[in-house]
Amino acid sequence: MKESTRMLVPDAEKCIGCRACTTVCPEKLISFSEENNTRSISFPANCSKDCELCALACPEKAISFIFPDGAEKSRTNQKSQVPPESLTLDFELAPCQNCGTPFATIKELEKVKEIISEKVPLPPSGSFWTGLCPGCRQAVFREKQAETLIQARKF
Amino acid sequence: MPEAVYADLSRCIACHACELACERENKSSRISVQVVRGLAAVPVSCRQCETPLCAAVCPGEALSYGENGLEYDAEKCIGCRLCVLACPFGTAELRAGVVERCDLCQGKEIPACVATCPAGALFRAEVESLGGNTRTRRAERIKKALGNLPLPACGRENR
Repeated sequence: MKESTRMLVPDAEKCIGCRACTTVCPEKLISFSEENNTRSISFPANCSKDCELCALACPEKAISFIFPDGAEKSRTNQKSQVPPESLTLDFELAPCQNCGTPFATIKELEKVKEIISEKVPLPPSGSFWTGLCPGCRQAVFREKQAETLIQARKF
Repeated sequence: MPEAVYADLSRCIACHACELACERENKSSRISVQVVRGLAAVPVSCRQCETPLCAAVCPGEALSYGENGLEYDAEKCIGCRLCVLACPFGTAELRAGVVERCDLCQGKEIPACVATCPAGALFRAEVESLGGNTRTRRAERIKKALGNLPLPACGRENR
């Protein structure tokens, strides 16, 4: 193998399944799919040596690379080291509390909630909107806005 | 306080002209009108929050709060969608790796939706200037635009 032997290693603990890496990969080697309540992200075992876009993009710094460049040495135990196939991480999707559509991974929402509660004073109801999909958030806001006018128009 | 596009709901007729105007200006619409319980039409777009949650969660500092309110730098955006998940109003969207939200038609004096609204329901304003009715608000704006120009007097002497 004269080509790259660099391995791409995603950290399953850190990764929140946001798909930033899938958007940014110029070779489109990182892919994702969603089925029922699971989002799966597939990472290639290795890829071009001179690109680190996915690692740079990752908000959780969950992607690292391993260069088995002591190739002579590591060739013998390469099998135990190198995952021969691409690696797929699965994430459970949270359903919107209003319409039931799965819209984000549970880990993504946890992260968002955590940052929000750290940085912003929350209303007494907490960050209730994080349980809703963007469409339903708009609907809730719209409903609230319309309340007074609807009352007025009923009379 | 930052400015945002506000709506006089009693005037909105749900004609969706604002959505078309926005699409014309920004390729895809960043404002959406829907009718609530058949009784009131409500347009919703980015509220230009003073403590923007979208910017708070942005890991790449692509969204930040600057002098001109909420600013977005597409170069720094990594497309992680956390802003979309943080926005309480559901008005940020990621399309083709770019965050789409109302930026008041950056560089334009009047946002396209405001300029288009045939019912005169949409206007661009600071939140403090809200309240009162549309006429008062418009009069205030004309007054502000005229600055210190002497107001034309009316009456016989001026004829």
